[in-house]
Amino acid sequence: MGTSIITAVATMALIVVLTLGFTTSYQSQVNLTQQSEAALRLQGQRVRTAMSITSVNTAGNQVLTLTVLNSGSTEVTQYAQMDVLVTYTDSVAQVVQRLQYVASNPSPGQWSAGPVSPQPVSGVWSPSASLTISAQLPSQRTSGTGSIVIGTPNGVTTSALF
Amino acid sequence: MDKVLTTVLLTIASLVTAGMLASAMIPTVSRTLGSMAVTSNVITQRIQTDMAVEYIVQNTSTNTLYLWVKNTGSNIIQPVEQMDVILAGNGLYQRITYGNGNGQWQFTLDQSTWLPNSTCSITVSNLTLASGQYTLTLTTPNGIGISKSFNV
Repeated sequence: MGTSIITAVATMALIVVLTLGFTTSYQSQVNLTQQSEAALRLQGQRVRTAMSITSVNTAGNQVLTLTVLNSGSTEVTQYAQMDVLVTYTDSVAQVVQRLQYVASNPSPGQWSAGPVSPQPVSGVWSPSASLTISAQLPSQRTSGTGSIVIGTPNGVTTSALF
Repeated sequence: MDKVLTTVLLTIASLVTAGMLASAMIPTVSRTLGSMAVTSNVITQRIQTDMAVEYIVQNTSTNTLYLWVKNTGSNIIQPVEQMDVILAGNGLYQRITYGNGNGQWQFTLDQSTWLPNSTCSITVSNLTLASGQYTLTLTTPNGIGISKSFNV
């Protein structure tokens, strides 16, 4: 009788332990799989993101107008999360700066995303479409060649000289 | 009567044994399951962490090294000051320490934390580099590292 109870209790304890262990392990595995898939989706999106600067126009050695082609297969929407980085030399010294995003009419040290052509959906920079970027350098470039780097919200970059 | 007494004694003994068994197993099982959950959480955070160096350039006028790094994962990277910054190349191999002194690195963020898709601007002031190629390696506090080469 006593042996039977001990056996029953031990079996129950073993079942509870195994169930708890299996459940925790399974949940951890499911969570890891979901996070791995999410990370792969992000990496896939980065691989599918590409752009190239097709033209750079400089006015007064301070105002830049760039045409950037979305040569990838993903859309870009969050312009405020893009980066515009410049390096050039003004009358004093070398300037290295990240320009600040504004919605329109950039002042010195700022940039804005202009029209997208063609743009079937407002606020979306679709694949094969060109985005116009207007930027104002913090000061006038006086000598040498400057460099501009454009970065997408997911960290893909392209650069050009001006 | 003897049989009843034996049964009662055996039942009490079995219950005591079961209780002892349970009290010995439950903490061990609890610790094991807790460790599994913590390990899973750490691995998950590492999977969610990623970054990309957008640009590295040395301002030769001020001897300041500038780099811009994008958080390309889905996890907030923090604390940023616990990242490792290692510069190698051209006969140099140096871990740059965090701080506001000469040759140390500092950072600025758009928000108070380094959110996904946002950019961290890192500067290393008064760092004199000879002309040549260098590789900069950044490692997050949870051990995700990236490297990028640049020329001075």
